[in-house]
Amino acid sequence: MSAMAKLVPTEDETLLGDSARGFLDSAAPVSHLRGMRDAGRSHDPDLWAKMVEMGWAGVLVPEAQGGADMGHAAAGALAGEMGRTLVASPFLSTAVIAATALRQVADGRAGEALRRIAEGGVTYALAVDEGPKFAPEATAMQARPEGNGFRLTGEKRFVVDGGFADRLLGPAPSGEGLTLFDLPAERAGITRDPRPMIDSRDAARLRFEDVEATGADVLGAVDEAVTVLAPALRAGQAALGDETAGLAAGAMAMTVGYLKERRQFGMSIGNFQALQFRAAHLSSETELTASAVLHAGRMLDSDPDNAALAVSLAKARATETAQLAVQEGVQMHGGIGMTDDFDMGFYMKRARVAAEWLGDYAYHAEEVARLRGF
Amino acid sequence: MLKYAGTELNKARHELMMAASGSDALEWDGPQGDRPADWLRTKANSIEGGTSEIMLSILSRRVLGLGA
Repeated sequence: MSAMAKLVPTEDETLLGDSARGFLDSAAPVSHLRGMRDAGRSHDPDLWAKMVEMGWAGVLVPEAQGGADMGHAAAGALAGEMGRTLVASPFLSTAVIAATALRQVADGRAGEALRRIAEGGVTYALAVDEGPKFAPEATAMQARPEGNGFRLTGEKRFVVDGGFADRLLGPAPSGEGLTLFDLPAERAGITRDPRPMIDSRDAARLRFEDVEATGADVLGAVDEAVTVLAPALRAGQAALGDETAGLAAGAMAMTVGYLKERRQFGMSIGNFQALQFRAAHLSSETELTASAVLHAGRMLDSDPDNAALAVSLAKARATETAQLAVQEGVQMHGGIGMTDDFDMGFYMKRARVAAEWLGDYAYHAEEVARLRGF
Repeated sequence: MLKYAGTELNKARHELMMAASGSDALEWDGPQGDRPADWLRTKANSIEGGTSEIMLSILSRRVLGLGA
């Protein structure tokens, strides 16, 4: 694909996005997340089952394993629609990150795992963070060789979907490098501590206490986690960029609607130029970000080995745009934007968590600078 | 002027503290305690007691003499 190719969704992506929007507007509007939070739940297996039925779990799974194999731009279109209404689901962890990791490994077990993902038989969580900031290769986990396997001891935190996922995917230092493990979450020695998160979604702290891992639990080759993990992280970052861009668009739509509706001094407040300029600025940022995240998906599909720059650019931009959208959203709504009865607070809290997950603005801005040779 | 600058500065200060605290500040009652609740509370600073927009209007009219 030439760099000058048009950054507009294909007909298939548009159809997919439209059908996703239609479904999510009725099955998972923001009130769905609010209802789950009020009920003390962070995961809705029924909603996920419906997404699986529509083929979303298999969007990145090869057709031979029962998937739709539509690519990262298509996965991004789905993630974007989920961002718009703040849908909580294991889509990113399972259908994007785990599926991409498993695709890097050409063995029967990985193929079977992909089939299980596509049919909705398994959910995954990615366990990389050990400190408060994303640093995937900084791990103090211990993987002690024993027999033809390892014993794992250590902690992972901010494990998104880690409270309910069936399986855990995470790296540990194994001598010459990092080894990527793919373990059942119920394996003896693993304790999960789901945390009450500000965005009302699932994230857990995990404790590994002398956990047995055999050769069959290693994904890819021993000491070579990075070859499997790096593409999976990029795919996750790109899709999270899409989700964040969708969040920004959703928050903006709500704000623009309010500017038209709210009357003060005898007219709708959208008549005030000071607010018009700010809304128009936000709109142009949202458009640019939409192009950046689509470009990241296109690069992952067409030239994955050189996609890192586009992915970091998209994640960084989306983070900034979402920040602007939620800040302006609260401020322009005035007092009601602050109340819990109003959805804008949910957007602001999700934007904050999405900003941190898989690398914050500073992390990705630094990646962009490094890749551009600054 | 002080109301405008002070409340905007306080919001920026809390954004920075949230970013610096990383995932520790994303848990209610987590390692950073009340930090996320305090951060959300600051968002009202530039609305309550006269919004930043009202403050800027006053500044432009009364101090700068614009549109008076």
